[in-house]
Amino acid sequence: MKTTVTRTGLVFLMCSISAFLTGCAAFRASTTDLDVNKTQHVRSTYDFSDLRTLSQAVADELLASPFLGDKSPAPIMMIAGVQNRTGRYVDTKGLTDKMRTLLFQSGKVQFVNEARREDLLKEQGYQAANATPETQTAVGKQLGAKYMLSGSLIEMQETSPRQVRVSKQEYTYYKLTMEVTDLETGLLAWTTEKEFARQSSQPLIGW
Amino acid sequence: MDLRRVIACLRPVGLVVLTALIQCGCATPALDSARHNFYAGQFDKANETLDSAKVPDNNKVLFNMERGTVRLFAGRYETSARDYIAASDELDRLETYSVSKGTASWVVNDTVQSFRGTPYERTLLHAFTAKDHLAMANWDNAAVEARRIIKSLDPAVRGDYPEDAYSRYMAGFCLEMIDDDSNARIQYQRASSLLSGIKVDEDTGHILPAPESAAGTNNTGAVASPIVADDKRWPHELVCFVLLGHSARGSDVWQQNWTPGQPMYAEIHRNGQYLGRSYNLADTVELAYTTDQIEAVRKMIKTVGRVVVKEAIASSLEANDNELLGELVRFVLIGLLERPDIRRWETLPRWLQVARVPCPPDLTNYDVVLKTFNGVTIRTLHVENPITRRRNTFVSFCRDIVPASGSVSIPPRNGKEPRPGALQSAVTDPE
Repeated sequence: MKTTVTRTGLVFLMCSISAFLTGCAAFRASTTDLDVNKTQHVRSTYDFSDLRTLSQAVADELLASPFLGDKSPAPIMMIAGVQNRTGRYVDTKGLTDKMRTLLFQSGKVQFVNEARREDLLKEQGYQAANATPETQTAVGKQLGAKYMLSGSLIEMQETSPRQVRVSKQEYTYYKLTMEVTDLETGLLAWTTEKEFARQSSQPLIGW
Repeated sequence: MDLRRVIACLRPVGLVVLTALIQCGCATPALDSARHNFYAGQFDKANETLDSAKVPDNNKVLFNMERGTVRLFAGRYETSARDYIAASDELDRLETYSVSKGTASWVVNDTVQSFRGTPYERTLLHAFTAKDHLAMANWDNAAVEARRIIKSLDPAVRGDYPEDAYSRYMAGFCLEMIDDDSNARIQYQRASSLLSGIKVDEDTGHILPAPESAAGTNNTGAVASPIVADDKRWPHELVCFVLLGHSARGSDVWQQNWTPGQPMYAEIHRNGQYLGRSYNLADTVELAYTTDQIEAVRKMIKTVGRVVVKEAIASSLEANDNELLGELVRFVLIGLLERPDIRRWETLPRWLQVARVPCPPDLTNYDVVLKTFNGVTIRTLHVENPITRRRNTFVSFCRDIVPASGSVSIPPRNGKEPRPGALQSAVTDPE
């Protein structure tokens, strides 16, 4: 009788545990859509929220600057890229792509597609050889950029010193500098800086 | 004793063995086979072996390090960089100490813990990733690795472990390539301070014999050979990272009087014209030796502690009138499972050298003439790839995977002969 009760108890316990484990969301694979407009950081390092925030801030400031004003026609720019001067792999092309989209959509700036120049020339060459004269793209009519958009992203990081502790504190500072250079004169036409710092804590002991 | 009791005794023992086997994983055969193929020059086969192997959780870093190296020398720079970066990311994750694996290591052995590599291996991981980026002319990413090298060599991170001049030089060079001259200068300066017999010019990165030290321990032949090319008119230069020999194997046993051997060096020729030579900036066997010396006490204390714990478990079972079970547990825990953790990044080269020589502006290939420390030619490698260019600087690297044949052992310190079993195979004997 006693053995039966013990066995029943064990079975009940195991059923409860398995029900708990399968029922608990933490033990199930799941996918959830996130609101990209909502700022969220998992670690102290550069992430997608920063990409959005920084590119939006730079684009807004450039569009509101007296340099751009109401120039007509809209000045033509080329993007030379943002130099990654951090200790991490940062897709700085993603940053400039986002800025270009925002600036272009404002209608106040035009861009040459310098990243696709080779493809462009290849297509023009193909058309010159194979397309009918009326549909052929004219060669030598591309517009030259007047300004160059470039920048750099730097990172400084501090980690809590070695001591008896259960978590590691990390402070990370980022500064993005963006500048517009007049390609004719070589003078800086506009520049701005955006910076932020963040703290995170990482456990030193885990399961 | 009846059969039921014997089975009852064996059950927990079987459970322990099974758990230990799962924890230890079965990575070694695939790794050994891949390393063997790699050193036989069969890079694709080595890559396939590692690709098809199931990577145990505790050996992810080691697998990625080895596969990254196989792919680097197979010319697959992008996938190699991906492997190295995956290893680095995994190392970041492993900064959090796993209580479960830590506890298991006190009952089984240290191999149940995730492989993190030694500090010099972690630094060289970034130096080798940088090489991938240099081979792809990806200067910004190479500079990212330079910053990671600098971070890993920070005394707060490195502790008392040795640092190597090669990684410092690599960091300086990557920073120089993105025009960060002030930081490059600091790295060249530190590299220079770690070297004997040669010095690194902090302004130019040129490596020259140190005038005050004609016979350095690492570069004895430095003065004997001409140091610059005959033709000084070229404003262009070639920076070639020359990688020679085999690193220490995990199973290598060190002897008290072990001494580093004299490294080979490489002469760079182009169309028969001598351009300059390489200088040795690091010896991974020496780094492994120094690191193992530092870790020896910690490892010994842990091993003794673990054996005591195992003995206590076995004795407590015996004390509960279960002698057979006690003996079995003792046999399994101490006799079968007690073994040292000999995991090591074994596809690393032994001698990490740099040749920075003047070269013609139309450089598309060059020859690397490998020589013993006293100038005897061993063999010649022809290099066409990788050669990338940034303004007036050509960047390239080459590896001689044949073991250090032709290198000559030197008498050990204090005039004693090394004992048999000391790590000499890589120093003296061609395989």
